[in-house]
Amino acid sequence: MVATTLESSGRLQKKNIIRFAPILIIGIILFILPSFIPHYLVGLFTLTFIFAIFAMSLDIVLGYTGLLSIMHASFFGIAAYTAAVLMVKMGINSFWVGFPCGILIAGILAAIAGVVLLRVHGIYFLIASLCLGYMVYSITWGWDYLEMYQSKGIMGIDFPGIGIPGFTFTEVSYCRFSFLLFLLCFYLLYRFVNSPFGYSLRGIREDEERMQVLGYNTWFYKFAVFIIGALFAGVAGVLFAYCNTTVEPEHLGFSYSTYAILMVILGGSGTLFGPPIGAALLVFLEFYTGIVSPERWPLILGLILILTIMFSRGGIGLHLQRLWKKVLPS
Amino acid sequence: MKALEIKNLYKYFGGIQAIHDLSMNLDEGIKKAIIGPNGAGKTTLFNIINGLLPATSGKISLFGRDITHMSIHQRTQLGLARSFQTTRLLFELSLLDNIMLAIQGTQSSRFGLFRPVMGYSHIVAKAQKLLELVDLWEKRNEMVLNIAHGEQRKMEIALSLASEPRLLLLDEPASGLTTSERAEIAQLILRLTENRTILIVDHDMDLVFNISDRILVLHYGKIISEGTPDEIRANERVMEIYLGGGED
Amino acid sequence: MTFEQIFINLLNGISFGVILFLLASGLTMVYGIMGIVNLAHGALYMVGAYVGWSVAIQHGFSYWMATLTGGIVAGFVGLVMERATLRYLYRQINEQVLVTIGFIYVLTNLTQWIWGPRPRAPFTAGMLSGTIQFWGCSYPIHRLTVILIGIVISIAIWWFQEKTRIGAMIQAGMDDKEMTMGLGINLNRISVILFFICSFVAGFAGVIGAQLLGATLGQGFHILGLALVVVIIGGTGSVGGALIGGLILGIFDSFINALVPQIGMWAMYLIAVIVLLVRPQGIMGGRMK
Repeated sequence: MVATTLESSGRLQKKNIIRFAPILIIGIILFILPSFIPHYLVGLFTLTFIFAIFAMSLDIVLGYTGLLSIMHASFFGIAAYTAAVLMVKMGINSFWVGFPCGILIAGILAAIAGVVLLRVHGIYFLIASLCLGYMVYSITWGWDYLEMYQSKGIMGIDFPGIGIPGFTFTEVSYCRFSFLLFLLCFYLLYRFVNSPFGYSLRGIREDEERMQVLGYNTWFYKFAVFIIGALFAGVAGVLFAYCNTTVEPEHLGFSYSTYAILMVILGGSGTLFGPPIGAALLVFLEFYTGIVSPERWPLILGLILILTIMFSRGGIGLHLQRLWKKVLPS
Repeated sequence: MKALEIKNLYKYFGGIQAIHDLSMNLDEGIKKAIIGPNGAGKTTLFNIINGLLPATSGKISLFGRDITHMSIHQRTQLGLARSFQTTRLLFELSLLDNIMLAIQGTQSSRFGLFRPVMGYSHIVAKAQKLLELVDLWEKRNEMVLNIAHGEQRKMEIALSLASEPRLLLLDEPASGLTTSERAEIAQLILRLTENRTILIVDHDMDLVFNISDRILVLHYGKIISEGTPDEIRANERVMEIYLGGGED
Repeated sequence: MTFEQIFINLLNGISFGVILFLLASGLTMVYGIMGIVNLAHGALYMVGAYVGWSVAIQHGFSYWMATLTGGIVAGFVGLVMERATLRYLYRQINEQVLVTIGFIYVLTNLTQWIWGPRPRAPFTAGMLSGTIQFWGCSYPIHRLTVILIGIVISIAIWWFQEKTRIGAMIQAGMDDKEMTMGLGINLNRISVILFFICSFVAGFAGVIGAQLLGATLGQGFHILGLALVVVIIGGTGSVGGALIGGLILGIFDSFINALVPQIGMWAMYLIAVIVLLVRPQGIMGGRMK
């Protein structure tokens, strides 16, 4: 990476084209594909893109900064609930209201949670994040306003209106839309992790006190990345609410938090392209497990988590990175 | 102007007294060494100046500003930097990343959210210069974890100099090195710290007497003597409790 | 609230607090001594509760037999976890946490496989099933038994730590790992014994707790949350803290559920938040970094 910056910009661009050509091709295929594949696959693709955003948003907190937060689904879920409440309870079905509101609420929750959590370090941080996650979950569970037809959750969410005359979302166009948003998030996060701020986060992951000695206000960095992660989780949450038709307490609970953690770990934490791969794997695996034996899915999930930690610490991302370097030497 | 001014500093760990009524001054442009046997409180003193440990009582001023209750990073922003006795680098990052982060730590660009870090060409250029000065530019893409101990010690010095500090604390820069490596480190420090204000702690007497303008002798948390290197050499009491007790 | 109600709620709170204490003491000891964060501790509790139900209700053995069996099964499950995974993850806290989260899923799902999704009603020993009359109140005997067991176990742990050789070693391990190694104490063997004991206590607590809460699949998650709040209140590595934290939380929970049941589900987490803001190291803690 360094070598490229120091070389002439002409060579740099040529190299970048070669480097990004495969990504570009995959991107175009993914963009066209939803029109030609079976209905159920479109749904799975949409979910994959959404969970990819969710997993990347956790990765900047967990993988880059080293903060193991077990409440990340709270931000995902509260954004989903916000969008759902706006549409179903208040009748506002514009995307341009639901989307920013969901993200904003997720960000506010993260700011509050961050103030509490960043009082403590290490093991205490993750225990505390787990407790706060339980708290958010329990409040949602017990809140009558967020129930419909005597069952927990909000039902009957539809695709949002986007304000273009004559255009309404179909499953295929929503899939494309999610893909575009995924690309946008990927780009923004890519810039973020390669910025001075993103590099500082890596330093904090390595040795927080050393970074303080070097002049960094590490509390601020952790606080900021916690909120930024929550904002992107909010993007995923709003998208999820619109295509899932229902939002339930489970979506902001422990299981969705660990789901996101598993995507990050499986794909490769501390890389940006790993978590989307982890997301794709889990979404498809859950679907096919659901056909064979839906009862045993948590067992499989748990085993994958244990085996990944024990035998493949860097996740798939690490292996891909090595392969990438072999195929495209420097 | 006084770079550092410490007044009546006390530090207790539980009931154990680490520093007892210590007062000292350091003028700008002066290189001062602190020597004393192990357990004399040298590293503790550095940690207190630096903010890693709170003082039990007393007052510390840096360039005329009271920093006794300031956080670690604020002191760095005021121009303080230090190296560590036991190497403390960002081990799983590359040498270049380490230096870049160290330079960036006192620049406003450290809050940049969008522009790639390698796009700040003045920082990259400065990192290159620093790494070349310590002969490690060729290894810039290796992880700090994988380079030799001697090279890590050089990195420790490079990191502490990256912010162009007005006051530099060097905590045993030559610790754990062979004799030839020590000489090299001493040369490096002399070369890189011309006209800088330095407070240095080391057990290597050649290095200390070579570098410093003034020497302060610490014994069980108290200052027992202060003077030029020649005066300290001539001081019998110092020789007795410190130099007589073995080089280490 | 009448005096009787206050009194009953207090007793309810203490008996629930004892169960939380049993759970949290295992959690905090494993962390304090071995540096292992075992989030599957609640799942071990659940396994104990189900095993206990099988022994006592399904097969009709005595309740005391059930407590023992529940403890032993949970102990061995814990031992398998420690030998197969956790011992390779020394000092890697994030990895330990993730692996034990994996075990929560595995154990919960295996339990569901064996016992089915139906929750089990609270059960107790025949001799404890009645109520006792005093000062005009009637109170279930089994709840009083729980409190009694709590007292006995607290004394046993205190005695074990203060008066036995192995307890002294554990204390040393809690305070200074390197020093203990230097003294030639085999920490590895202590780790195995200790992990078994703590898992045993979790399973044991599961059967004891089943008198009040029955056995449900959600316990692996739910009871863990409460135990963690106890650890936050009490501070890590301190059994005394776990006792105080457990009792505070149990009594608080009992009164909140009697007075403002709407917030009963999450009010205890609010306590954790307040403790974090006011005294992040916990009431008894000083060891936290």
